[in-house]
Amino acid sequence: MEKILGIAQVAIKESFRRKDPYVVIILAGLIIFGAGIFSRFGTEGLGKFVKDVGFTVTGLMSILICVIASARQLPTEIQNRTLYPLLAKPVSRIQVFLGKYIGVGVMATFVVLLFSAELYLLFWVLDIPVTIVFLQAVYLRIILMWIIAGLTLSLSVFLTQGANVTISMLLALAMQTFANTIITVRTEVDGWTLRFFDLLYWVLPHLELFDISKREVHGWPPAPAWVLLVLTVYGMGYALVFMSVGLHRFYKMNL
Amino acid sequence: MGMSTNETVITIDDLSVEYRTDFGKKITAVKGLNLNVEAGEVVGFIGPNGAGKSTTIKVLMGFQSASNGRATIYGKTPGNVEARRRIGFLPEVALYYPFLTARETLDMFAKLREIPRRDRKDVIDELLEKVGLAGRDKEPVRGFSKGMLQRVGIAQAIMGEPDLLILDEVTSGLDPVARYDVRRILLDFKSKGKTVFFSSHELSEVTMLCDRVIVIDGGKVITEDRIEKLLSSIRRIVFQVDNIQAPPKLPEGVYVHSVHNGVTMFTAEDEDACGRLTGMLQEMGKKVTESWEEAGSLEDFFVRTIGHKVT
Repeated sequence: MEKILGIAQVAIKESFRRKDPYVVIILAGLIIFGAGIFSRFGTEGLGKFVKDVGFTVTGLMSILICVIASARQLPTEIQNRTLYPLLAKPVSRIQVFLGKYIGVGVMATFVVLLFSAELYLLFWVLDIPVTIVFLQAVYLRIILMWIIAGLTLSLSVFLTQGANVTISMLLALAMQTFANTIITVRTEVDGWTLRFFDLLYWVLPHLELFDISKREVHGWPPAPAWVLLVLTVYGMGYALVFMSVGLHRFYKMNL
Repeated sequence: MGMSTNETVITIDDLSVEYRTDFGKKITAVKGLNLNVEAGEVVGFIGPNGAGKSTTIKVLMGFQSASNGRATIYGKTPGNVEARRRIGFLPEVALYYPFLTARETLDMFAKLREIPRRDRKDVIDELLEKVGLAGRDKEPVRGFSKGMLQRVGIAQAIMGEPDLLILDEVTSGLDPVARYDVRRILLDFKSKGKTVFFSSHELSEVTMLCDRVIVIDGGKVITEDRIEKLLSSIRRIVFQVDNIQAPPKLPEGVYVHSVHNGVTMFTAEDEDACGRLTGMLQEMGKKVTESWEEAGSLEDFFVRTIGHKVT
């Protein structure tokens, strides 16, 4: 385990020493605090607007940082040949892959927590009430990051870094909206097409389930604990599927 | 781990490696290669660019799969974790992690090398001292020159006193001081009876370090023998001529050995080349002031074996 954590530690240090999380956090801060200025005018409903903008911006930025960090791990190691001395030690490719995954996952978790602290501070300054749903939303966003990290890290052994960032971003965003699209489309089709869309609906991961920020925005009640538990298992399952595919490829690939 | 004698450390049997380029062209990097390295040997693996040296090393390290044949290290398949416990490896050019310091880099490798936590600091201090990076250990690796990066590489390779060192172009691009230091470290390693298998274009280094040399070209072993035997098979005749400007094209088998203060030394590979050289000098109206026979170098052997093809 120490080997996996040693590799993870390098991925975490890399991300923070490159300073990209800080740049994005400052940028996101400017956007959401900019939105916060509107609430000073006392217009009804602007509290909701600030919450919505805050959650949306931090959500997108978290995904972006997670995708960029995950996409560069293995391709950069291969390009710079840092993987060679690493794999020459008594370390298996599985340990390297897991170490990279844990490193990116921890870094993305930290980024989500930083963003959440930033949001909480904004809401507190602007006297916008926050409920327990805020914490639930943060928790599920962290799970989402681990799924996206698994997806992007796995795609990184199939695609170039640039292509991976683009495709992973598109997939991460599309998978948050595809469920509604399929529900709309399936009312218009029948027969095999209908079955195909049903299959698609059940096979593809429903990342939209991991965004419950609208509950906080609109003041809806919190999600029951069992839902969070089921979503955690569901998320871990998909992360495991993505990781298995990537690991299988990484295990066999010529470096 | 101690070294055991009469143990075959590296075995390569009928190894072939093929791959396809981005344009779909099939390239055969290694063709039916056979070689063995015994425990305690220092073996130089030499050949022109594209000969298949790095590909062979990649197969040995488990980075590349073989298309045919097999390779083993300590009887285990390449990539086997047990075998890696006994190996130190230095790739041709590795940049390491630019955002880590030299100490952090070595600390990470120490974890992977299974050096106990309580010993790590001492091990790293000793290695930094050995490779001449003491005092520079807290600087990020990104600011390091190629020579300093190679020192970090050597430190991670020899960490934990491995039984076998595999080095790919270890002194390539290093300045004379760095090259001297690397040689000193390898000789120290050799003096402990450890096994070293290394590829290099620096033939003087190979001559100084190796017990045995394997010459590879076109993915196949061209020749292999003990270094002293190879060198004794190469003789050259040196001719000293004063105040001569060498013609643009020299006779076959004749080379300019050196030019100093108006004195030119020609070498001839064999008797026939001697005849051609003296003929040329007669035509030019020049006389040989002195001549003698001496042992050739590994470079002479290499050029005669591989030829002058552009790679």
